[in-house]
Amino acid sequence: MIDRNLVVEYLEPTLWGRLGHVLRILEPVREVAHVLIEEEGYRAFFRGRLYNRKGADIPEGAVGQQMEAQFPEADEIRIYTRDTIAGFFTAVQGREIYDMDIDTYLQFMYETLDARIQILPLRKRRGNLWELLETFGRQDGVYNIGVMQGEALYFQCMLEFRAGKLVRVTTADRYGQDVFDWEKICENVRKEFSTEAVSIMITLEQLQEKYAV
Amino acid sequence: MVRFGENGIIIDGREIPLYSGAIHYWRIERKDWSGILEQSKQMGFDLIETYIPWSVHETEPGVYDFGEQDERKDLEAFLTLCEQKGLWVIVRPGPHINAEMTLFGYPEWILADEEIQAKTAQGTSVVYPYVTKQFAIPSYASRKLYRETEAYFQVLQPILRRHSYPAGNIVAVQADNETCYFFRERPYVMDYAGDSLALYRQMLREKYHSADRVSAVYGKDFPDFEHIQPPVGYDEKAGYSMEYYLDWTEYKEYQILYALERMVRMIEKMDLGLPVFHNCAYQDYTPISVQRIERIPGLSVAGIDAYPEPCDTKMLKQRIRYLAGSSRLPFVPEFGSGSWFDRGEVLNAGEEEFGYLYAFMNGMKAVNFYMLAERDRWTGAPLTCDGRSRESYRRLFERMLRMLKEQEVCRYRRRPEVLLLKNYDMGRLKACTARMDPNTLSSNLFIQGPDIPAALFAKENAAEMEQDTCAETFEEDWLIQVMGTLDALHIDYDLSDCYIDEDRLYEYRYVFAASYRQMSETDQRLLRGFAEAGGGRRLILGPSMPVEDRRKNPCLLLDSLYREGGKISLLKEVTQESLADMSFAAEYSVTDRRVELTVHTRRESSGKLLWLANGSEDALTCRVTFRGKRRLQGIWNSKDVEGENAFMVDLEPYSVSVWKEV
Repeated sequence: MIDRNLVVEYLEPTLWGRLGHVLRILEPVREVAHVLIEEEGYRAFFRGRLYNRKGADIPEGAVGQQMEAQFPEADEIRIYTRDTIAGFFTAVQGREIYDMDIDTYLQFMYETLDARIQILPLRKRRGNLWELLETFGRQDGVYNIGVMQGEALYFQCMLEFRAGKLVRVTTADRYGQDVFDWEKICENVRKEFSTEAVSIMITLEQLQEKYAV
Repeated sequence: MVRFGENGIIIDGREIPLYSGAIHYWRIERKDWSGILEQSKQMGFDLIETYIPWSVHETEPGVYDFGEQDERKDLEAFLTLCEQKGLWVIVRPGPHINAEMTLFGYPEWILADEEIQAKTAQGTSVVYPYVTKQFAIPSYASRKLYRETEAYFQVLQPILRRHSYPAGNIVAVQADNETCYFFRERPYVMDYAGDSLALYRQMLREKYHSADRVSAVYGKDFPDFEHIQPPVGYDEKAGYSMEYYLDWTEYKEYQILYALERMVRMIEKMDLGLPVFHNCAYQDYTPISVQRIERIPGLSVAGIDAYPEPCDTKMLKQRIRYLAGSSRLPFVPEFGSGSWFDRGEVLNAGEEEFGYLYAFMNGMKAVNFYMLAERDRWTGAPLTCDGRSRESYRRLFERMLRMLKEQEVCRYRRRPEVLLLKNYDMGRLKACTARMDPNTLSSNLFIQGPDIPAALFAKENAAEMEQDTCAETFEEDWLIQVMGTLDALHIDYDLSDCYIDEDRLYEYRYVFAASYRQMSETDQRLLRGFAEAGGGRRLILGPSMPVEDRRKNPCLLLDSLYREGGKISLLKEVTQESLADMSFAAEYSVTDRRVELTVHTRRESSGKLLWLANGSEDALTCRVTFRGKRRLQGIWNSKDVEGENAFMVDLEPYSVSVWKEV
């Protein structure tokens, strides 16, 4: 879906500088507790802190339960051994992965992780951002997206899809004027791309309500 | 003749400040080149920097495009235009480019070649998941990579030679780019490819000369070097001595030095007669050493790049002061001007101003602003790719370059009495005691792969070696304490490590060196020499007195001098009280902890610049004290001031202000 020659051009710095905030709504950071089972016990890492438990003899089937009790605030717990880690990294760095698009590869990494590593709870992997892009990519055209905060334009970008691939990301800065005026942006987009352009406006609040996990 | 000087770049004996800006000719329509170069000059730039990406010019194996198919790729025309506009040029031909290009500037068939790829311990390639395409990281040891690179360089040679000074305006060449395993510097991520293992054994041969000797050191019996397999992670049960693991860490350093030396030789073969430099990405710890890179014959200067976060002071202060204490020319070959598209935030002009001025305040002498003109996958530069101005950024550069040049700021420098020495071996020890190092599967904002934190694999106090407790390879608790204490006292200091030249070390009066129970004999000897040099010099060690060498043999070079008394202090904890018996010269002082102060002096005169930074979100009125009468002219964010023993100044939030003594 992401074209390897993706062009990303004419990004208005103020609006584009808010990308991080918009994406954090679409793809909130998941807090993961990482647990490494060793012969002499286990080591866990959560929220920047290392927990080293030597001599902790946990029955194999009870590890997950115990970790859930220890890290109740974690969105996800990943339980590794050194062997499963080595197996996972071997699987995701093989020759065949270089033919994939990057988004397919990202999905492949998580599918491989789910298959090889004990994860609690196991759940949907594909985030809102990727699902949205996949939906857009079903039809060629240009999606002009504006996010409003009150009366002001907070974020804007245009996504161009060709043959199911995202080939260009740009903003109204390409028109050299009216960069913060949503109505005029829509007008300029229509002039350049005619009927194949679709404009979508959403408020920050709606974005939050619709997509925040 | 062109060479780097201590303040900038010297062209036929005339030193000019090295303030340049990056422009990517192949990413700008040819019709816009002239206007963009003209505007760059108007902003005050005399130097332009550009990459020359391999993948852009060699479109298929053996097929080159230098403007024949795509006019934007006409390198010769671009260089000619720079000459016509009177602009000097710095070129960076790679082969590593990055520049947010899909394959970091390498042609696809190069990275797809198994003979060129770096390998994991499991024998797979090492993936870099860039946002537009994952690719295999190449090996710095691959002989084929150098053959192919040299062929590309030879194609570039006639063009570059025609435009190298004095025939043309190119004045410097960068060897490779951020050569450090594509941001994967932990030792066991890679490189276990065949050529890399051969290079590893070459290093062992140079170090140990015989299999018997290496066997004795490692505690194993090897019939020859070919039987030595590298570690894939620290394993205390395997029965090897710590040197086995430390040597692998040193090999990763050796590989980088080897790679850069080969690049320099290839550049020399182009016969351009120009000085060569390198840019480190961000590391000032294993496997990177600025001082060792600068010892490569033919490589003049190694800088470190900087992309600060808004209002950052910690990273910039440490990085710039490390360069000031370690490099021949404190140079930031890439200082962020704008941001890559998948960073998530773009600094505004005010935030950029704070970062740039704060870096100058802490000792930056030379800088290349990356980027000067926007292009594919980059925003927030002073010029757009079609030649429009981003006014706030443009005004900043106009004002700043005018001030820097009019006041000849590059001719001033900080002269701190205090040097902090990081313990390079401690970084190595922390790095090599990881039980394993999985690759990083994320890159920037969009590609968040399932990474595993390195802390899970760290082995503490391996083989009973004293280990610093700070989790990061690049930080040490004792030094963090020293920096905090000196900062609170407003005492200026530089940073370096035990690779510092002896002459340079002796320029300082106080040296705080992080030391542990084990310290190599070489490092102990260097520090003992300083402590014995007299002239009011003083060595402060901590948290522990070294009593053994790296192999845990007794080594009391420092301990015996410490016991004689008077020349070495040992401070387990560094507090303001513990420094009470040291006198630090301070011409100007402030008491507000939120304000930082440095003084720059000019070598050939008594001229001085006073720099104050307010790194807080509050507007401050600050009392500056000194002895006698002083009159200062405000030259940046400041008004003229004068007073006897003190004056008051106003400092805006997150701002740097500069005055000149008159």
